[in-house]
Amino acid sequence: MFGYILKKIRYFSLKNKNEYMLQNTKPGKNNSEPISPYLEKNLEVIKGILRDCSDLTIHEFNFGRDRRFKGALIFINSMVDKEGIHKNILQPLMYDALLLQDNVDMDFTKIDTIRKNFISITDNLKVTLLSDLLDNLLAGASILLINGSKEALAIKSGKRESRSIEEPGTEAVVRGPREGFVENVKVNIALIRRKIKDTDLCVEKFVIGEKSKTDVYIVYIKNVANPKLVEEIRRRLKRIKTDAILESGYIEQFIEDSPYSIFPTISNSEKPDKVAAKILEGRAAILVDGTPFVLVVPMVFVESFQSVEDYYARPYLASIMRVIRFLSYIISTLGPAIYVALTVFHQELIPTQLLISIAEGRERVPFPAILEAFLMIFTFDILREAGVRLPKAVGQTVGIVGALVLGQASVEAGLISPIMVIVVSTTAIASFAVPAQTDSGTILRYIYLALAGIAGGFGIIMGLLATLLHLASLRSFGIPYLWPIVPLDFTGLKDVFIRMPLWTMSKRPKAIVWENYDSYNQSPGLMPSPYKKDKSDSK
Amino acid sequence: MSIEKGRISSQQLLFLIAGFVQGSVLLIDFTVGITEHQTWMVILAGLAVTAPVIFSYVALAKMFPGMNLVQINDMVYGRFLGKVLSIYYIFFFLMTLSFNIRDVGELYITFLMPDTPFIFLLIVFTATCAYAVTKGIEVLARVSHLFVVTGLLTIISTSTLLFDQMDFSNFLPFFELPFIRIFQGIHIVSIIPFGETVAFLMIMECLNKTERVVKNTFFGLLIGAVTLLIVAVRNTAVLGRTQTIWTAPSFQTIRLIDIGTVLTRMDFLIGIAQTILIFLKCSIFFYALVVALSQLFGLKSYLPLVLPIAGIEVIIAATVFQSPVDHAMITQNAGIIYSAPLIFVFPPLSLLIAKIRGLPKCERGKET
Repeated sequence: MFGYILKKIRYFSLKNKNEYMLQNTKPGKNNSEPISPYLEKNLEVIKGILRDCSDLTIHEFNFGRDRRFKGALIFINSMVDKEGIHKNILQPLMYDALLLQDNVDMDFTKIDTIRKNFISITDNLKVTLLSDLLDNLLAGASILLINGSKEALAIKSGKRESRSIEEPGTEAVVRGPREGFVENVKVNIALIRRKIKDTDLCVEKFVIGEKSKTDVYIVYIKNVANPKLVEEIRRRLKRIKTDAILESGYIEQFIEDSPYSIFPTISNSEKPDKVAAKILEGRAAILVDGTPFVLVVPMVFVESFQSVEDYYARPYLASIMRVIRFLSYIISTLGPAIYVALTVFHQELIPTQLLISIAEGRERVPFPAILEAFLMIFTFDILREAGVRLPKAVGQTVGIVGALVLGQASVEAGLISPIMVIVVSTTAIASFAVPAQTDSGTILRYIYLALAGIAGGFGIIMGLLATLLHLASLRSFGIPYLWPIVPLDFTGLKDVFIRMPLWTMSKRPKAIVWENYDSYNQSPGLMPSPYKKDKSDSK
Repeated sequence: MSIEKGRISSQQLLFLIAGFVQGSVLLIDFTVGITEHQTWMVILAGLAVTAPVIFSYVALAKMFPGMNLVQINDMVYGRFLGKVLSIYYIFFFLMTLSFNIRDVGELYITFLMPDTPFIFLLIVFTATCAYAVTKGIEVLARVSHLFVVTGLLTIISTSTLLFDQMDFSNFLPFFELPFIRIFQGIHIVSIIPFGETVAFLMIMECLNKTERVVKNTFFGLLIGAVTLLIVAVRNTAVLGRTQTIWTAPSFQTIRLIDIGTVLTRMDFLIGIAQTILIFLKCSIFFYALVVALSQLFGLKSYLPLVLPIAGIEVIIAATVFQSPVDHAMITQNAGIIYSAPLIFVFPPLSLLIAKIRGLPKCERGKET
């Protein structure tokens, strides 16, 4: 029977694929005709295609000696810098060209002549196909068409409103650079380039999305990143066929390794220094226009517990913080489950004094512990979700209402035992210590709670074993997800539970960096030592 | 035809074997009733007796690289006899697996969760094992070192905490018991933790390199044996003669830990460690069983067999014995008899026959 259902599912998915293929091979979808040499005809075609665009401007003009050449400048007036167009395109063509000496005979029907002699905007491109012309026009370029030329010039004179570079909201640091990525992808690439001034830094461009035509860039260091990894990213990006990419999350969901897993296998960040550090380790970043969130692949699980600040601060506190992060992830996933397992199944494991106080607290509570825990966690998740969306001023009110009404009042009303409030609030706080795994932590919390309610400690152990096996079977772009713990790699362990001093980490991570590249990223033996007097100095 | 696509390294084999032997820590209790304070001797003797046999498994696996036990049987004994022998092995895997699953259930029913329905525990546990098997041996091998380290840490820490209660005069007199009881003890130990490694003949086909396998197998066995030894010595030193009257001496020993009335009731620790180790053992057996069956039936993948076999295992485990005492009696007296030839006779015999018939050469011609 399962075989039958599987066959049906496969049949329908193939059928849908066929329909999609048919839909996209219909005639009239693509404007892949060449540009005609007659200006009038071109303008007619463009006007026909963009007839409902009220913000389209077509400026026809005559230029050259005796004004005998005809040209047209087409742009979408909401997307271009008009002053720049006047100064850098129209003025040279319409006025400066008049001042040419009589003996200089220029053929103004050649786009190259105009491009080389008159246009003072460097970012320009020759197009020969109508579809390319339209793409550039809609991306904010001004199109220069000349009567008698089969080519057009797309001049990128666009202006773009951009947010200023601010400290990112999600990854605030105490020590470290305060800049964050913005929505403009060009600015983001510049931010990375300013960290890595290397000739090998590659920036590859893709355009994804039938309608959105979003720019997507892969940034990596040639040779340090495994060529197979880059090839795999290219392959996965090329197979995306969708209408629009509105955020890097779209890309993430189309290219991740295990779409059914609750664990993310692609990391994202808003901080240039973090992304640069990862690129230097041999990873590749995927930048998407229109979002400050940059994707980095491959991702390993322990990365979620590392913060850039760990490397800026001295190693001792950084190591303690890292252990605390691991512990808080464990607390945030297992806290309520352990409470339920202890109070329902294994009371004998609780010290007698504590057991008495728990029993006193639970005396008036009408619900079983599992329901109590579910209620509290659920309420907390509602509070969290509401708090994120509300304006700041109202958000505080929600916090007070949550703390007073749900904490104190529900205990006094006898709905919840006081210990439960402590457990859930500890869990809630702990869940924010590891921002990268908040999603998986929240889901796991419910799963473990259900298992603990059904089978106590036994259920929790079985759940943990299944989670471990699931994690061990995951891969992110070929890298085992639990590396360096599974499979064991002692050199990698220097940077997992404790952060060894920087001068001990003189090798690049073995699993990520390309094996043919030099394994050292700094000279060994950089341990600082006080100035030792040579014999010649001490006379 | 090789069913499994995964590849494991010989280092991972070390941890798999170590974890496999450690998984029998609680099963040592079967021996304690017979050999009392001389259990430690029995473990050492059992290791000494079994080691050469296990090396014959490794030699067999090296002689037929990329082939599992069922294929080797077919090759050595011919189509018909080989199939009969393979069915015997499959029966052994089937029964041993259900006994081990039952052990987990009994552990929880007796000590930790007396009110939970027995069959429910079995189902949950078997389902988790089945999940592990569907992920393949490669994943299991990759995480095996975590299991081994957890087991070792638990056992060493509990032994350290009990140091003040140990009385080493409990080991005296050294040779008190009659030889026949020692012999039975050696028989049990050489089969239950060590001899069951015959299941690895189904796994060694996945080794990516056959170098250093002998060394790693030996160290794996050694880690397992040392763990068993620590447990036996700890239990005897702490409990003395009374250890024979407890159902599970290990649990009773751990319950005596009392450090400043804070560190008490540590037995849940041993429960956790024991569960994950026995989980590793059961998953290995489960894997060996489904691969052997699918090889026997000529299936392309073992995955369709996992769910039905899990169901059968749960039913056998739930109904095969009346009580834990029944379980212990049958294992002590009958189980070790029917499994002895599979462990001590056939693999060395196969090795001998293969040597005489010069089989590895034919194997290459047949593969191509």
